[in-house]
Amino acid sequence: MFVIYLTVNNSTRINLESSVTYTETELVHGLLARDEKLFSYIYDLYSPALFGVISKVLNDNAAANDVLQEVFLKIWRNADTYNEQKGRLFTWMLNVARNTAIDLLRSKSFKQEQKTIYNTDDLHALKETTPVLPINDQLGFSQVLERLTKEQRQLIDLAYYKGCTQEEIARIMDVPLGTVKTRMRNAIQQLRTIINSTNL
Amino acid sequence: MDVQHYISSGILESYVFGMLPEEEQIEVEIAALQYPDIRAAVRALQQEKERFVQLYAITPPSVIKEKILAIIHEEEAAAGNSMELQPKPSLSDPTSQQQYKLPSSNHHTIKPKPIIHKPASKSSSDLKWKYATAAIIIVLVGSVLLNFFFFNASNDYEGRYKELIATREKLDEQKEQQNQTAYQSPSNNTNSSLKDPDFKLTHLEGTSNYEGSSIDIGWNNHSNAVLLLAQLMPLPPNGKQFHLWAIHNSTFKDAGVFNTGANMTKVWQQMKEIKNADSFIISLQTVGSTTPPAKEEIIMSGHRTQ
Repeated sequence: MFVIYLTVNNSTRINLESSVTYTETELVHGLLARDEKLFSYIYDLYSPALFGVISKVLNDNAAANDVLQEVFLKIWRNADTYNEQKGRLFTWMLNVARNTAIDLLRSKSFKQEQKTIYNTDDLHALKETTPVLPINDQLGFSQVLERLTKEQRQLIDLAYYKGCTQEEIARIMDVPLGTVKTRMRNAIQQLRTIINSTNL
Repeated sequence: MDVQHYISSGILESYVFGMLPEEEQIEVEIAALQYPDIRAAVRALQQEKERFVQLYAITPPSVIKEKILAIIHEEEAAAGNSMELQPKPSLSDPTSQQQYKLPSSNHHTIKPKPIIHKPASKSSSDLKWKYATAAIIIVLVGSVLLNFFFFNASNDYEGRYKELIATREKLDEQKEQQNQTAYQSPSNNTNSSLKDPDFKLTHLEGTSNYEGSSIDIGWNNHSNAVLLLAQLMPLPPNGKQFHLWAIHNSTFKDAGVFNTGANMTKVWQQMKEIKNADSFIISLQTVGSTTPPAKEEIIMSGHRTQ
């Protein structure tokens, strides 16, 4: 079992049970150097979070499996497109995963197959049917979510997990665009407060 | 720029959660590069988002990792074969890290080669096969085009030959029709002309050597048209021709040469116009002669029918 310490800055080392540790910079350079063993390490470290995002977006396990594979192949093949000025490696990988999943979600073929109706309770359904890492078990998955209002969860889900623009959210929720911006800012602020207070 | 106002405007949250259109994303990224406070705020939001998405972390099926590693191993082996002279550093082996120097500031100087999905060790032979295949395809396509061209050309020649045959047959037919028309048109005209009350027929009977022969001559004293029907006239001797003359005031007027024989017994022949005629004479003269006939050359004669 891995013991993971997420990095806060580039100098912080990431520890595995094997006692091999890497900094963020080493991870990036190892990926660019096409180090397969290091890539395997990156997969073990980040695949649960990426798979969680993908599954949350698609709500389809089979499709999520395919997308996860596609995402890591993109990460491997397009590592040179990562720009550290824009954020950490994990942020870039999250963007790749989210964008790939949303592209599929919005494709006509996927829509025809799924005909998924958005449901905010999917969060809880997903938690009950899929395993999570020990770190999340310790955090208490629903504990955080319960501190957000239903509207705030819906706003974040629509924006981040369904790839909706603010204009689309305004139409879905039937509120003015300015209201969406205000509520979204409040929701994220509330989320930040919760995350920081629970010391995730 | 009022950095604090910008940070508190909510645009950074929207940026981090991927809700901004592309142009506004770029705007935030530029602002983050210019202002350290904005950059720090963005980083803080990104890390909070990373922690948030960890809430949804799900361990994927192990088979996915196996498939991914197998794919990249194959790709890497191919790339390694193509760059086998270049030692490959491994960050996973700390003891090897001293053997090469990683770029300290700009890792983008290390640009991985574009992924080659086919093994590089086969690239040379593959290339030959590609060239060979391309050449075969070109030859095949060229052959097909040439066959098509020559087939069309052959068809073209055949078509042109048939066309020429058809044209010739058509010309022959037209020629025959023209001949018949030349012979029959006087007859046809006669049919209508002879109905004209101004058209008068004169019948001539042969004497001496041409006894039993007969010729009908039609003349229109208004239109001056002259028609001749050689009802019973033998072919002329070799070197001789039958000639029609009109006599007016003891003067011979040339009305032209005409044909005789079995084919002409029912054909009215168009002759030269005659303005005035008291009588008609048929002469047998030397071919090409245009002078009035001698007395011994006259074989038929008759007064014009009034």
